[in-house]
Amino acid sequence: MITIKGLIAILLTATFINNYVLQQFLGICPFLGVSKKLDQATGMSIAVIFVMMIATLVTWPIQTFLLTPNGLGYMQTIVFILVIAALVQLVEMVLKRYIPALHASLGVYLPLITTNCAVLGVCINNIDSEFTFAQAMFNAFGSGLGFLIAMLMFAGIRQHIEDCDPPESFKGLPITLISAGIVSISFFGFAGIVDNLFG
Amino acid sequence: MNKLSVLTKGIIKENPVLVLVLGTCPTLATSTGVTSALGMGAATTAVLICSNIAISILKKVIPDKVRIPCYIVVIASFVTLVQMIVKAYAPALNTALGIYLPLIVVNCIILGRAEMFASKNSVVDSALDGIGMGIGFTLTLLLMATIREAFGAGTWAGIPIPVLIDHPISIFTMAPGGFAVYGLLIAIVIKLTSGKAPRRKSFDCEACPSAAFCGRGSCDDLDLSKKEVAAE
Amino acid sequence: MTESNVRKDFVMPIAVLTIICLVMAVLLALTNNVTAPIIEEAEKAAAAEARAEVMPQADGFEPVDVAAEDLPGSVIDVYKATNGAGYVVQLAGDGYGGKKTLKVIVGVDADGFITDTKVMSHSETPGLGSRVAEADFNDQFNGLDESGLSGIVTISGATISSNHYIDTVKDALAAVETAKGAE
Repeated sequence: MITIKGLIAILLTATFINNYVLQQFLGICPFLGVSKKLDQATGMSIAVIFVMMIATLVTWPIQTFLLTPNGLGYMQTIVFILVIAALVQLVEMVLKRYIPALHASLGVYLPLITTNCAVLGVCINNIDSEFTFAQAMFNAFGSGLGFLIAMLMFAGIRQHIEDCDPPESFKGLPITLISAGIVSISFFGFAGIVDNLFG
Repeated sequence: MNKLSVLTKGIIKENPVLVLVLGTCPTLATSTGVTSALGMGAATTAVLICSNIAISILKKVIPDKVRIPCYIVVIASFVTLVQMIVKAYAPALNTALGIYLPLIVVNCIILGRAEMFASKNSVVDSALDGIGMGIGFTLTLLLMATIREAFGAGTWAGIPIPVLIDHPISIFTMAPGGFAVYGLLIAIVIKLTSGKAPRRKSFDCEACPSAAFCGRGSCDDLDLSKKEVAAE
Repeated sequence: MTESNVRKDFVMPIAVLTIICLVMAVLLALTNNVTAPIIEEAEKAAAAEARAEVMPQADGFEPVDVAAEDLPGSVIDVYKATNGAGYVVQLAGDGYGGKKTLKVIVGVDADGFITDTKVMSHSETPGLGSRVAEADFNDQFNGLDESGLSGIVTISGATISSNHYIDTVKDALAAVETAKGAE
């Protein structure tokens, strides 16, 4: 099955090779801000996966069936950001009303994601890469999964940084950024994974 | 506050990247080379000045309830304008910046200045603030790009640098180099100002403009608000 | 709730937001009218320049109409030089950094020899695989035909990227054969 193989290749590429946080620098704010505790990091990442997939579910058809056929491709940025913002609000309301348990665990993270560049990045990326709908959905899921993995790895490491005693000037953000750099080196190990598995 | 300090505070005292720590994503992503850093800086500055002016003019008209959506529409429109102009007149820059060009719309610096400054100050002050912050952003990007390109590729804006060109340390232009150089620069700023600058100790919501959406003071309070929600 | 409150709380916000959206949309549409033809022109010029670069002896190009299923999967476009100097093939080959990420343009003369190859974009490892874009490596291809490709010296430390590049060039040669047959 060539198509399923292709979809999995897209998924793995998005997760490991083009990791949004550690290789493409998208979504750095939540990566640095909400990675202090493992449970928060997990909650945030699951919310990101969720929003990325819903955003793709909506923006891909908008671009393909509304904007492009009418020559309105230039409205992409403005339409996408508004749609994502409205969507996040809507999802929060729906969750609160119908699935309060899920809202209790994800709800607080949802508003934080509205202006997250990783979410808008996925939507634009899907269009730029000329993905089909299925490919776009796999790309969105893979990107979110990559975010989750990066967050979990980094949350674990940050708990150790808290116990360290770096020079005064490095305390706080600088040492965190340098650690992020080291974590991002580890992702180089994945560079050839898709090529070797599906070559 | 005199006009000059409104203009210059963005360059050093309230440098958006190194002191306020806003706009981290484009800073890390486009500082791989001097040319793309300058392009990104110029594009962001243009959007920042335009959106600051527009929002300052409209500040009395925009109802408080829908101010954030209004800001987003204004900012997104200017980003699209810049995108069209860059595509038409500087296609090479468009290729170099790629996805980061439309993503200027979610650059925290722009929404942050709209919310924190332009919505409260006069048109002239807002324009000056935009110019100052834009220059501060561009200069910081340029500094980072100079370090990364010189050590990583041995060139400056494509011009070979003697000695360094023979020994490129390519990790500087790759993702880990971006994080490390950024961390080092912030550490240097902290050392130089010896804590005098309004330093952000951790990366919480205090200066994050998205705090306006979530209505929470700090990401550290997430646990607390979670309990509240659960208790409802 | 009094009538003025309704106005203040609901009508005004919606009206202002709508007006801002409309004004901005008109502004964008006007700018688009001005820039769209320039953007199209610039894209055409860039593509034409890349084609001319790999085959300077051609005076112009026209697209060749070949069914996609007859061509290798990596081929995007095949162009024929109007003065019969040869063909230019645009491809998106597989790279070490992912499927269809190694975008290459290859010029092939009428006798099946490569005139020049050029990397348009790639996501190979910087400093290693990225060297396929350097002249040291890809100038080796100039003047070769299918049989000569076995003599290419791969980049040390980037054998896989090098081999992907060779495979992509092979696809280009195959596409030219197909294009010749189609006429």
